[in-house]
Amino acid sequence: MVNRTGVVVSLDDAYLGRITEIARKLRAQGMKIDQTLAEIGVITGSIAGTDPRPLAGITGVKAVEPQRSVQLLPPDSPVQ
Amino acid sequence: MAAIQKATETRIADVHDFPSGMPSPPSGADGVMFPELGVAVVDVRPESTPSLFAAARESSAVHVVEAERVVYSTALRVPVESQSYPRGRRDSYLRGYRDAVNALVDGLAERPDGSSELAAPVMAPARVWDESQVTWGLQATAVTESVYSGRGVKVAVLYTGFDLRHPDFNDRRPTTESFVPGQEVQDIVGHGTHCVGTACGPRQPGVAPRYGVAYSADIFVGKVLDNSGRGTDGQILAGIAWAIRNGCQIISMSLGAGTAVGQPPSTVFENVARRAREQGCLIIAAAGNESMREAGHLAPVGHPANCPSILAVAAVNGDLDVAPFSCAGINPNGGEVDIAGPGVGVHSSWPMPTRYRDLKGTSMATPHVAGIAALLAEAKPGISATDLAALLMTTAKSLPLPARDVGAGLVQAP
Repeated sequence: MVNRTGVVVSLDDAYLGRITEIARKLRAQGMKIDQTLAEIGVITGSIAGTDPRPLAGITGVKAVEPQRSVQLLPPDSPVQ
Repeated sequence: MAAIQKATETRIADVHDFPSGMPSPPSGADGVMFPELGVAVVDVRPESTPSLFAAARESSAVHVVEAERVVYSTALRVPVESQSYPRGRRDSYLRGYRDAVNALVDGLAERPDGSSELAAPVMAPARVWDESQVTWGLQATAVTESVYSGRGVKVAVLYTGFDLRHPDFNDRRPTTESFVPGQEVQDIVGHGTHCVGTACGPRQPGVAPRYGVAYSADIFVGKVLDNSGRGTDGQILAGIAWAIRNGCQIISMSLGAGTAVGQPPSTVFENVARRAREQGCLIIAAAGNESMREAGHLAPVGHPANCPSILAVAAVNGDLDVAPFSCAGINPNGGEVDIAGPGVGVHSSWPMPTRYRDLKGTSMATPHVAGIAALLAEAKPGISATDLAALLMTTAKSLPLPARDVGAGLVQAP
């Protein structure tokens, strides 16, 4: 089974109104899409493997970054 | 001392050698040494100063050489040589001055048992707050004096959800949504409830003290971290989009991930935050808790607070000192600390049956700033998100601490 990497994609300002079209192109490049967030021009999902370059090369894509995650310390840890 | 005296051709007397009651050095001496202070005050001829500096550089015992300053009282000017000033008053002033210096030296001198004041540094007494009616944080930020309540302002808290059954919020009706697949908004972890409480808690909670800032704001709770306190960028971004879609003016995010020195901010989050501002929404986030200042370790502001368009909040304690864990603005281009909020000993709501809890963290400082942003937004209807950020910073209370640690200072309510 191929490891999938979570990614977040940010659109160019000029393409904010064309998010559906960009999503289609991302899918064509192998991205599995979780969410299309029109208000902020972001598409989230995952790719097979770890190389984001096929996505980054699409016209209208400003940035592709791996998804980070945040983990809180347990509440009885001294600092929150 | 011998090397200095030789280089400058001066004789420096030890203060303990002064004849009693004599404020100036014994005749023949060009200077006085205070052994307990490790300081010598010397009259050096101008042509000897190069030799003085050379000797000082060579001596491992000499730390610094400075020109002697003359200071004046800002409260009272005593014209020592004025003819109109009665001689008796002049003399008693001089005697008082001498006595004060003697008392200082005596106090610092080593006692017969070998102890001295120098071994026990004098610390400013810790500030004592009366928290019977209101938390210290709301007092220190002037919230208690504000006429504003956040009425008409929508504040989104994106965190671990909220205890929808908390009795202090019976008359509020938060708008809620979970962005964690398979989990409801109901707060299991607790932090979300605590931060909603700080930002928007009631003016008169069921049990004193009051702990909330914007008691009339419209509360939007987005659960972006799951019941184990974990969340992905995707969940957080979905929460942000939802808050914007609902017309929230302020987003409070008490969350983040650690960053490395030199690490640039996320382009994706910076774009998001910028677009949020363009749509009237200011994102405020915790600077992070990775520092260990007692050990001399400063950690840089975390993600996503390190984005230029996101307001990064540091934590101060009840003495208005930066908290030891608070991240510092050591990365450029957005990695600055913008402002500080109360972040130690913060009392606020907690899921029932516990009801309240004291916590510390930049997570607690952040909702103080968010709540006060709501007060400012109410005070200035139609204000843009960028102007709101600027107003928070220009009205902050300046602290005697570097901007690296506290940004513009301690947030203040209008």
